[in-house]
Amino acid sequence: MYLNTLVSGLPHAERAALVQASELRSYRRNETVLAVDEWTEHLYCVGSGLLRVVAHGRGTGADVTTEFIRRDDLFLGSSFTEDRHQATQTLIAALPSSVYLIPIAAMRKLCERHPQVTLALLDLALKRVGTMRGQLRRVSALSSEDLVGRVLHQLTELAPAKTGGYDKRITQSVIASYSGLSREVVNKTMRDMESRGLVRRDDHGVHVPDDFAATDFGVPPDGQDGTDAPGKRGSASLERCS
Amino acid sequence: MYLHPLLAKVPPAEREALIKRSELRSYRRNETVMAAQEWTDCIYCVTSGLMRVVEHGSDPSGDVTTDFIRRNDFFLGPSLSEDRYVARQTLVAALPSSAYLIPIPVARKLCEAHPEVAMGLFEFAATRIRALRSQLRKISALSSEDLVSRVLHQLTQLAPASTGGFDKRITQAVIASYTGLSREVVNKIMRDMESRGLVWRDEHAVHVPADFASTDIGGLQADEPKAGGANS
Repeated sequence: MYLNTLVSGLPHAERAALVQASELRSYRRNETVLAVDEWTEHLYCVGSGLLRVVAHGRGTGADVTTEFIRRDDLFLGSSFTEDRHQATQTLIAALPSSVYLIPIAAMRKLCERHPQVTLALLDLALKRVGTMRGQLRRVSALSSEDLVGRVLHQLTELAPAKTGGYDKRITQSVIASYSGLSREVVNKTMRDMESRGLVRRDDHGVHVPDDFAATDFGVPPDGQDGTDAPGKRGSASLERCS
Repeated sequence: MYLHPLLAKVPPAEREALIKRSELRSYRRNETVMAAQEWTDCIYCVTSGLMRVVEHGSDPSGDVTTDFIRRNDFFLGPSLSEDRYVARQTLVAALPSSAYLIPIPVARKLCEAHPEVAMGLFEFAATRIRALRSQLRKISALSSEDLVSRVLHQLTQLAPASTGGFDKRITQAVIASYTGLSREVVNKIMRDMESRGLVWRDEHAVHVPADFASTDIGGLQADEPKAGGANS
């Protein structure tokens, strides 16, 4: 049974024991994998599909998708030092998904014996930190249109459709909750992009131009550090209003 | 001498070797600790003061403070498996600060020899993820006023002043870059709070009511928070 690249370097017996202790579950789209306040003793490792992490506010409009967890990635909950904890977020299947539920206790014991597993976990966590910092910047600083463009491009990587683009089952309300925009704004922005021929749909996917990634450039493509402010500003604004 | 809690169980000889191979540096307020797009081969352990992590946009108006690193916390970079990396963010001293610069290979060896250190660093990263989740939610869902209140309250914990409240050297520009609001909006909201007597200043600090913490649970309470209404 496949588990995760995290444990790929371990002796066979160790890996088999972890697989034995873990459970593989399937979830329909929009099914809740873990509800906020629910007790859990697992790490959630995505085998296929895509999950999203939802942080709750008080009103219904205050729920926000903070991150997506794709194949081979882990949902790191509130604690790794305790065997069980109460979830502080909700985990939902954004697409039909299969997920390995790995007991935290078993994983921790493995980490104690094999520091390289902890280091691999740490790297996963650091990657997540980097992604979230990037998302924070985009949500804070980009215009609605740039933000939606960038999120659509991210989705082509998180939820690729077989015909290219991203899986059309990812709804506009999911996009809205990830970009911190209202559904109306996302709908209007996407309609506008479609009418301009930038975004198009087929049976499976929503197709997005490659340069939607460029709205994200903190680093200018030519690697200049931008000391030539006027010229750079010009190209930056071109990037941004394409 | 400074001793990080993470190293409590590491034998003294190894601890001394670690410190010998690390460099303790001091930074003035607003000094750049690490610049985006430059190579670095260290992780940063803040021993005093406060640093902020800045993500850059395609022009300076797109710069955003994504998180703060306080005393005893780490800036770990993108991975511990490579000896050096190109910084994606800039690290700036938000207050006068000092930090140990620990070479990545040294940190990695320590992790390999002491699983509890690796586990401890992983916990720091997991805590950071939780903080970023919470900040993402706030930025996305709160009204400007609730967001500013919440951030001012956070600052009383991140940058406490000796007289209570938060260190007044934390500028409105920093608050703006952390809230994703313009300086004008932050200035207007803070003035308004001051005129209503919610926020007040002394020689060292900006003082904030305790119930500013609770605006985070709420949706859109535009009304004045009631005294003692921590759960409202």
